[in-house]
Amino acid sequence: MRALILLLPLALHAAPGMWPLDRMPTAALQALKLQPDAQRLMRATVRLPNGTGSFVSNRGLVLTNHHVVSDCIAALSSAREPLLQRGFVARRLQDERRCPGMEVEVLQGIDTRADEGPVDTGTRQQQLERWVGAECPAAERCELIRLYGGALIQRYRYRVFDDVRLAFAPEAQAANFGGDDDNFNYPRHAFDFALLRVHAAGQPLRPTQWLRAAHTPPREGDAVMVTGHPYSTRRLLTVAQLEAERDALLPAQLAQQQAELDALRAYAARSAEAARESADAIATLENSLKARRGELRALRDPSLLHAKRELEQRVRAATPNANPWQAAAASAEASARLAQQDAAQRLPAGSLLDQLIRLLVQREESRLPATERLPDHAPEAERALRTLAAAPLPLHPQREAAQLRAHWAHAKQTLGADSAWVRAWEGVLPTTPAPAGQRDGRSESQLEDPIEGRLAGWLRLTRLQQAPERLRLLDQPLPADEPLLQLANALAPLRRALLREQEQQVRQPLIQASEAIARARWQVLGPHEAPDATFTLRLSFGRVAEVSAAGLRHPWQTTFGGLFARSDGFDAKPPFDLPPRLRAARGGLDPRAPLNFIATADIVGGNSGSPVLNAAGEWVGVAFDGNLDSLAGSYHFDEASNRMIVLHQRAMQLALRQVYGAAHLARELGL
Amino acid sequence: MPRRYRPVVTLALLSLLPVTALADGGMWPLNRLPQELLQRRLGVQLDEAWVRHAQLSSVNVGGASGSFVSPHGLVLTNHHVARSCIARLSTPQDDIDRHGFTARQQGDERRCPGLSVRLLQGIEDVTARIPTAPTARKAAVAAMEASCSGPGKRCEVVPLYGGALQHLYRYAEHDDVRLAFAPEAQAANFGGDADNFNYPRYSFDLTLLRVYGADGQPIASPAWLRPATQALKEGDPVFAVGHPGRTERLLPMAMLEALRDVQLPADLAAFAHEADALIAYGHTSSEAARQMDAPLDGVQNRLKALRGQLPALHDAAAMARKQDEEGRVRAASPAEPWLASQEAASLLRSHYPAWRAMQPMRGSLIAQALSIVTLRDEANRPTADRLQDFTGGRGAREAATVRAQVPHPIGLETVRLRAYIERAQKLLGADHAFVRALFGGHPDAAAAAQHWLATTQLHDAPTRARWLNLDTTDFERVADPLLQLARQLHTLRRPVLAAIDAGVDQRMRALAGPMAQARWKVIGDSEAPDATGTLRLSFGQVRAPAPEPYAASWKTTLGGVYARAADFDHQVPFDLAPRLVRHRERLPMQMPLNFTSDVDIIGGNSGSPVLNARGELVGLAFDGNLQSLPGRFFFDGRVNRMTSVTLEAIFLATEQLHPEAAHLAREMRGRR
Repeated sequence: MRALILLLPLALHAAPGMWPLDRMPTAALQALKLQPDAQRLMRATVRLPNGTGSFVSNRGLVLTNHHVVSDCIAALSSAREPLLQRGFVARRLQDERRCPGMEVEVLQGIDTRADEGPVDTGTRQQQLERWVGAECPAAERCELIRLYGGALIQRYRYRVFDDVRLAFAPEAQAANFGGDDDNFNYPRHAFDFALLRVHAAGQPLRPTQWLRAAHTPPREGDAVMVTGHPYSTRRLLTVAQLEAERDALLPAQLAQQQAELDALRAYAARSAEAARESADAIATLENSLKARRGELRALRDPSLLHAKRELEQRVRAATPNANPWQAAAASAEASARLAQQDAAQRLPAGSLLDQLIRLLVQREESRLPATERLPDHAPEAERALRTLAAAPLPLHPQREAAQLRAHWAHAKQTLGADSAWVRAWEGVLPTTPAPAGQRDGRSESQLEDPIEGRLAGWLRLTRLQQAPERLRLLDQPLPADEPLLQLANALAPLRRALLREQEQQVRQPLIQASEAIARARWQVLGPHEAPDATFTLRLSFGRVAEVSAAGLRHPWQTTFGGLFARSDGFDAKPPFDLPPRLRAARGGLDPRAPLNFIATADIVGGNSGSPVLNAAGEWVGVAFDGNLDSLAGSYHFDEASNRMIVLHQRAMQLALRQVYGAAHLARELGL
Repeated sequence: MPRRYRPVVTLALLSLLPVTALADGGMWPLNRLPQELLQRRLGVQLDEAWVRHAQLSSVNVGGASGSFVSPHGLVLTNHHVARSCIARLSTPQDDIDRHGFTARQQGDERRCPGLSVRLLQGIEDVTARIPTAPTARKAAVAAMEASCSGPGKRCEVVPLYGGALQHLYRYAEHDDVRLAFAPEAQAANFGGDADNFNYPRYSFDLTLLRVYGADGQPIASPAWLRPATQALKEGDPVFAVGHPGRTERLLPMAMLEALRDVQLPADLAAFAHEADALIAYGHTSSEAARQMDAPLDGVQNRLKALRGQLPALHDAAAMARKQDEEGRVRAASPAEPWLASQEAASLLRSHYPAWRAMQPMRGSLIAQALSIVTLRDEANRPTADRLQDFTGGRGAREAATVRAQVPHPIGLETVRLRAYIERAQKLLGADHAFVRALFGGHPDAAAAAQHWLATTQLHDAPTRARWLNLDTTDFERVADPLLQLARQLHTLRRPVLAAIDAGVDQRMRALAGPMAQARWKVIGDSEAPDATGTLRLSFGQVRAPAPEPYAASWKTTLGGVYARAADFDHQVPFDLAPRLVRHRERLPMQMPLNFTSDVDIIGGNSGSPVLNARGELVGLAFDGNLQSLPGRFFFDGRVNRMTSVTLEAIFLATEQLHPEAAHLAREMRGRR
């Protein structure tokens, strides 16, 4: 019977979707007997830099995923105090530790702009800039949101809190049991949660709304709803755009990220300390690669594109004007043409050189009138970049050198030795060993690779490690008296040229086209389609339900016994080892106790840390992942196979009380 | 999985061609072991004593596999291999299928109706003595098989490489086989159809039988396997010895394409239809559910296997490899055999749908009726004219099925006959003579089925046996309605059977020699022959399944069965057998329960003993993963896995879950 379901055509437009809180699908929610309170959910759900969280106590406690705040935990970790590995429990309020640079944003309102009729593009752009700039209420942060490809433009207003402290984190191995093997997979056995506390004026925040813990556990078939900030989906793309993703963009990204991961893994294998300082970056890359692969697999499934094509034909048949689709196709073609170059230019995320190039590109853009700038370098973006550059940058010279070395090699391999990018590199970085005087006191033999050694030397000595020096780059050209800056100066114009080319050939032609396409879809399919995700607050919903994958039935929940059995089956070898505290507590834990569960709610990346609520609006768990089939969710939602994976409330209770000795936090959570 | 091999489809094909990446797999006849490959892959040489011991310890259990595990005729096999025996011995009052069974002493062991075992005595190459012309070959084979068959003895000419080599297999046969021990069906079959052919797996799929001689005493085992003394670990070389039923790895492309386009889809539709009918019947009462459980198990198993096999034939890369290989062989050999195989394939395409429509489901009463009529008809024909499936060894097995004391509940049979009539109507059309005969003037299939079954005596085994042996005049006077129907159906069906027998099976067998010669010239003769239901040795290493998409270890643990049950809230088919619940607190949760290896097996291997390099018993093969199903057409060692019960689980079942069976455990440990 299951096989028959698979034969049915994909009903793409009937998919549940991620709904803005001012546009919730009443009938679909009623069918599940769900009555979300939009105002309350807006104020109880918070946006974090890497995902979602929710207020779960009246003293500002925020529940989220371990992996959403792992960069904070990594930043608070040191060789002496490896919080990532050992976990962290703040016994008292004053033991909580501030997460460097982390902000929490709480949505205050969604405004829709009255349509003032036709105005020219430049004026309209200026009006919109003002709407989210000068006209933004004091003490709020405003954000311009384009839904349905720009057919609907809205303003989201947030309150921002920048004193966010870590209150609890389990051992990384408990949060991430099964590692990359189990990531995006199910059955799952992960304690992927962490607790933060938001402070305001030096005191724990008293949030206007917070979520209560449910008193009855979720059961199979229960309706659930989820609030969170899905980053992005591409469900409304045209077939031409999807094909460009499939044939050019994703393959190029995959190749680049794989090269980056290989370099990091090789570096991590050098020593225990190298492994420690790379662990978080490796996990991030593995996660991204697996997601991209899942997306590529979805796009290569002929049934998906077939269904997309049919739908598009229906919409086009009802639309007299073919131009928008032609424009989208031309844009897709340009994006495919530039894909490899774009991917190969990507510098290691978080590296100093990456930041320098961003700053240099921004400086050039800032010289232009606001309306002529690249959209990612608008004044708003400039402010964000300034904040980023002002924060201390943890520098791992040897690691970054190894990564840059690999970046150069990958660029040379994919773009060719004659490409401008590679020539720029080699103009600054002679491929001969550094003279003895510049070796930072190390002998040549200590460094396996002379180029890496030279880059490491630059990184150790650079004054751009200092935040004020970096900030100066934004305002004026600095004398190019050190090789790292020379390299950045050589690369930045090439990067900017590519961004400009993408803007002109890929994005600009699409602005009008996608709005027209969105309107045409709206005409044909009705307003029953959720807009693509925009890293803004959305509501998803569904039921707790088992799933079959690759012919095997997977249960709606997993249990502690399953965790132990999986670990035993692998003889507790990494990544299936039990962390010490869990191992110690094993005997006292009920093997039947639920650990993770799954539901059909439609979520994607960015929803990590989302509270999962029952029909009464009480939280029953925290979402932390989707199954492999959920990766197709970038392009379409399939209720038969797509599952959200949730950490069960009961597992948090047992972890806090019986494993980590954090009963005080369990009490505060009402567990 | 390797649920019992059921020789259902007549196409016992036989031929040769394009294999693929099976370099490291293969199911090897014990007289043709690839010592060089064993050395290269496993660093192991199997000496003559090892092989001899493995052969003498192996038992063919009603077409599947088993092994002697004590000096006193005790045979270890799978619960699902003995399931039909266990089901036949079960009654609503004494439901041993559900509760399990332990004979506390030998006198309590219960005879399995219709079940016989065969022990391989020897193999002889008789290729030179078998003519190639189909008619002469049939006669020669029949004469050779008859010359060494008799009470307790049976001979079979086995065509290897599609018939390019002919080997004579000599067997001792015993038809007194008794059930000594069976665990609860839910422990043997935890996860049911959902987990079948899947992994991770948590199954106690084992049973103990005992072979008795004509004197009513347990036979002395010709050899028996000792339990291993060292724990198994990942990477260990392991060997499965058993009776793989059929593979079609050497078939020419034309035939594979006919299988892909016609045969497998037709089989799939038929089994899906039968499964739906059985499931609907099961919903009518708990007794109906009990009756249909074992037949449904068989049908669903077949269905799942087909669903796994069909995609293999649509695997563009695998088919391209086969095509490429065939191209190379054809380029270097005469065209004639290939052209003939294309004709055979096109004949299969045109006749198979009718063949499938007319084929009754094994075990149903209409199948029994048709068997009686067909067996009698064939016996009355000259040897050369007989259908291969109803003569010789196969005919004898068919006759044994007819005579077996098997329950045929009227409700279940009505449902199955009705489904048979519906399928025939759908596939052949209402106007087809075969369909008109089935309806017999009744308005619908249900009424017709009720009519044919209302007064039939065929459910009575002694009656069936008597009718099988009546002389012709007396038989013609038997006016049983179902038998009357079978006579009409047989007249219409035999031309279809004969067309496939002559035009496909026999023709392909005649082509086997030249095709194999051509292949050996180009590819070399170091490939294993396709499976033929005869004793083979497969080998590999203890190895985890491919890590994508979901990493699984090479072993599961006892704790895993409790976890999977709890994860599903103990809902059927993930409920725990009562014994597992009762003894839970005292059991070792970390004990390995099932394990995987990259040993190349297929249906019929069920019940195969798994041996280590020292020839000791380390496990009991019972299934393969989903990726093993394409093994019918090619072996891919990267993903194909055999699933086995660990030795630890065999002893846990007999010592701790069923302490009353401890004497059998002692017997296996050689401490009786």
